[in-house]
Amino acid sequence: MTTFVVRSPGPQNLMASANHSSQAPNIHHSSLNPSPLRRSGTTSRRIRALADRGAAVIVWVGGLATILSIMGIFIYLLLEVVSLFLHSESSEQTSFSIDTTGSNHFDSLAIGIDEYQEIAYVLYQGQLGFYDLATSQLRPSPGMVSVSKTPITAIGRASGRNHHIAMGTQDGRVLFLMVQFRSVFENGVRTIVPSFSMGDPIEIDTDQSPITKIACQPSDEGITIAIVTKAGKIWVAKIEEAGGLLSENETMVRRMELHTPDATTVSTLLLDQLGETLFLGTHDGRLVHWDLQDIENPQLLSTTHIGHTKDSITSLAYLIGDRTIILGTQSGTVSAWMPMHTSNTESGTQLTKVRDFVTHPGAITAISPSKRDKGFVTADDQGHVFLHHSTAAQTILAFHGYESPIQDLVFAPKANGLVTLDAQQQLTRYALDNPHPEITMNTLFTPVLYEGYDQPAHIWQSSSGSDDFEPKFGMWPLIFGTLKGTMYAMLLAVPLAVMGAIYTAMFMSRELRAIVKPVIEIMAALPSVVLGFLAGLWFAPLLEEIFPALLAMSVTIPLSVMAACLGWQYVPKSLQARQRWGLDLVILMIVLVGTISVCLSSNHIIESWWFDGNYKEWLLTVFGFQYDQRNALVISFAMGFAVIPIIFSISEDSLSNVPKHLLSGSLALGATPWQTLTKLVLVSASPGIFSALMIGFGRAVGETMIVLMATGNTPIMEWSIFNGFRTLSANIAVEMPEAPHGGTLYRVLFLAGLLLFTFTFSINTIAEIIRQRLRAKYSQY
Amino acid sequence: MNLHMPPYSKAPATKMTPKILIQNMNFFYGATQALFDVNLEVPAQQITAFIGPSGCGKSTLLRCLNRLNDLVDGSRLEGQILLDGQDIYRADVDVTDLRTRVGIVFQKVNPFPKTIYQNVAYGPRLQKVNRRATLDDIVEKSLQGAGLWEEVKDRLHASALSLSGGQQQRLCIARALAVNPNVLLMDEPCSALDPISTAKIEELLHTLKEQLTVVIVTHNMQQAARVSDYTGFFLLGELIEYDNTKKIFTNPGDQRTEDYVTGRFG
Ligand SMILES: Nc1ncnc2c1ncn2[C@@H]1O[C@H](COP(=O)(O)OP(=O)(O)O)[C@@H](O)[C@H]1O
Ligand SMILES: [Mg+2]
Repeated sequence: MTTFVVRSPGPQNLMASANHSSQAPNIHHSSLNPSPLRRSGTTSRRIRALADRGAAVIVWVGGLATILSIMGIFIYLLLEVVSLFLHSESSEQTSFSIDTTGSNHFDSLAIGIDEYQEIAYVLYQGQLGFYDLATSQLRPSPGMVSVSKTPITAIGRASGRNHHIAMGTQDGRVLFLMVQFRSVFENGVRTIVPSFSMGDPIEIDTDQSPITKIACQPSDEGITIAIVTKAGKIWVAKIEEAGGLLSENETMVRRMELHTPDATTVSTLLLDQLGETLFLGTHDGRLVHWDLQDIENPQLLSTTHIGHTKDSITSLAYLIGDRTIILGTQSGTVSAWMPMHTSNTESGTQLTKVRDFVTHPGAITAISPSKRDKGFVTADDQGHVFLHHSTAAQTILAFHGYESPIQDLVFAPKANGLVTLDAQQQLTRYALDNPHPEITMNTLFTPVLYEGYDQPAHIWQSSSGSDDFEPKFGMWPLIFGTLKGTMYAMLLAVPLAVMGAIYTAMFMSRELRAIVKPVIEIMAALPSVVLGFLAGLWFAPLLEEIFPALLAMSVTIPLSVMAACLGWQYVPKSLQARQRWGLDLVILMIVLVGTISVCLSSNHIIESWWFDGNYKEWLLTVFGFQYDQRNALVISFAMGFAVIPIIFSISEDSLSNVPKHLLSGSLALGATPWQTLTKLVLVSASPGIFSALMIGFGRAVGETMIVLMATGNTPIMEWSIFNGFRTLSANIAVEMPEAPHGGTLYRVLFLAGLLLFTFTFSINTIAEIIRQRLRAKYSQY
Repeated sequence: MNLHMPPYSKAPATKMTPKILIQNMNFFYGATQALFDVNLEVPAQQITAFIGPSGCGKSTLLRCLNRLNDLVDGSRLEGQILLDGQDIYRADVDVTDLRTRVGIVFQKVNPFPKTIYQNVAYGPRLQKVNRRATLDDIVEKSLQGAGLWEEVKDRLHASALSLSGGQQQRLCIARALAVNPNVLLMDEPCSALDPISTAKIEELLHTLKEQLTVVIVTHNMQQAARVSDYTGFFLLGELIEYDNTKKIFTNPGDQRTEDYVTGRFG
């Protein structure tokens, strides 16, 4: 006679029940316990009290633990995700003056830094010095070295991992410098050893006019250079050597003069990594595009005007991958430009401005792209440094240096720091903590114009083989995929499961019901990995084979069933009652099996009649649908199979729980069984059916293995039932092995998890609320 | 088996025409027989009561009168039940139509989980009566007929489940009346109700009698004596005695009837 009163557990309740049983134990037991039991009453009461308390504690602890662990999971997910949006920051800033002894009077300079940000080099007024950033001291070896006897009038830095620098001299020659940093491990301690090498001077223009601008880019085929001379000439040249680039071997120089634009207007030069494309920026706001693939026959591709104002282009840089050009101007604007498809030009592409970034207060003096991502830093002549990210279209950080014009700036190779040199010879290093620059709410949830696309789009593509890949973290394709998979699964499962439940609960004979219900419930015991495996490897190819038959079935099955129902009316009543499980069911089975086998056996005939012999081609030409083998149709069957038992079982329970006396009440008023069903039973069972649907929905949303194995996991956003999709859950499973701990992808996957969690959590909560409302409205007594 | 052929198995002499005529009726639930060779006449516009101990088949007989027993798997009926001279068990009888002519109120109070209005309008709506004004009219008349109108007229759209037990039972009566039956079957309609509610329903029976034929099953001897015109006494599936209520209670023809009505068993 022990009763566990499970109230909402709480400490007060615990106390209350304990007090109650110890202080006034007799009140409600004395009348129940007849005298023979009284002897053992005290002991049994104590046991009861203990059991009561034990049960309450277990319920209380269990409930609390569940709530806490769910909250814990939620908070953990949230913390991992929040890091994506935390502001980047600069943690330290060191600054010191460089040694400027032995200067000449040209302000061409270049700086660089190793990947561990320990050593910076400064090429300044013909001298190369290596500085130890930790001590702010010039390194004793190699010390300050003079690299040129003649004054340097122009410096161009090649892009890429190595530190290649071309210097143009006052007497019109070109010098190459390569700086290297080697890591040396001694007793487990890493030291960076800098070194440099110089090439022989090369003469491009024979008139020895000082070089005013220079750009260089080494590639497999040699070094491409472009120069502008004081005499007003623009030259491009390719320098090829039989041996190494900087060896003593004979060099071969092929060169060509360019006549557009006017050399006096050229303000800046830009070469791509292959040395095949040259952009010249001018003082009057033009961007001239040359194709240098054949150095002896350069092609002028286009001239782009960057805006209405005749703003001078002061700095140009390619972002990693050479697709986006960052352009800085005299007035301080910073913008991103991409070649976009157009019918206006001969080449079919046109350089188009795609983004503006935060404008500097002064003229842009230097742009340095990240070697890791689509980020870059810009500096101006008032000492400001801004950090931007192209994909995210955002300016992440702004530094307001020492108000002295910044002459050069480089982004550290790992994009975790930067170095500037200003007009007062201050070398400043900023350390950056900028782990997820490409993530903003916009890049996650709004269409983004990615490199190589003509339209902003929702795209998920987290990684690729190449380093210069632009990661695309659009979440919508995954959310879409989740909804699409769920929708198609529910489209098949809901009618089948609910109708099946209605038939089983309301019309099936009791004996048959006792078999059918457990059998369908056993379907739920099938592990979804088995379902997915079968769906992907067996069912998908089969479906591809018998698709025409399936389509035919979708028409013939309803027709033949209707025909059978019509025919049933002509079966004599005496015969109708014969069969134990219902003759109607037997006939229906025969009709179904018959129709299906006829359709299957005439698969090829249907295909040739209906689809001109090839249904895939027919689908493509008539409707424009591409048929993938692993598609939403396969999912709707496989995932349908997984959710049908749940929906069926809960719906059936709630239907058969509608009190019998309500059914009799309805029938007694002259309602037909069908009317009773639609007007009374469905309404009364609606809370149960509704929660069945919601639980099925939640299952379909979170389902992973089936979609993982049977969809092809293509993150595309198309409703077509004939192609695949990728769900949030499958995406996590697919990408987890490739996501380094703490990285952007890693955290974005947590975001996917959080979305999924929020999704199912809110569905369940809303479902529960609605169910409670329905139950209050249609509650039975 | 039928050693005691009941002496009063035919209907008592009455001027009234028989509304329901039951002839040689046997009823089986699967293999078990619940009613044995029942013969009786229910007179029109009178109240007929069935009494007898639990399990003697009163409810079964009642449910045979509007074929609700059809729903029980494996049930079977032999013999005839004539309503207005028509055999209601003939194959071509429209059962739903029969049930609108023979309404029933159950022992277990069973309003639908809908509003009061919807409960009463349920039956008419099944017959495609959808005009609002007509429905309003039917609802009002039926509720008045069940003596509930005054109590609920201001809250027709409240849930039926918010009514008290006695009100709910009268709502069930109103619901049955709404389809305009000419027979009303009542299976222990007051067994779950308090004395005041019971009194109200008994009062109601007298007014109902003017329009329809009432068959009531009751456990309560006083109730049968108070409200009914004719009484049938059942025992173990057999109709022992059927006669004028007065006769049954004052001068029963069978010893077993006397034992029962005087409270000696049952
Ligand atoms: N649905 C049923 N299936 C099988 N036996 C039933 C069913 N309903 C009633 N019975 C049996 O029929 C007999 C008569 O029952 P019932 O008509 O309910 O008696 P009463 O209403 O007089 O108490 C009882 O023995 C009962 O067990
Ligand atoms: Mg009964």
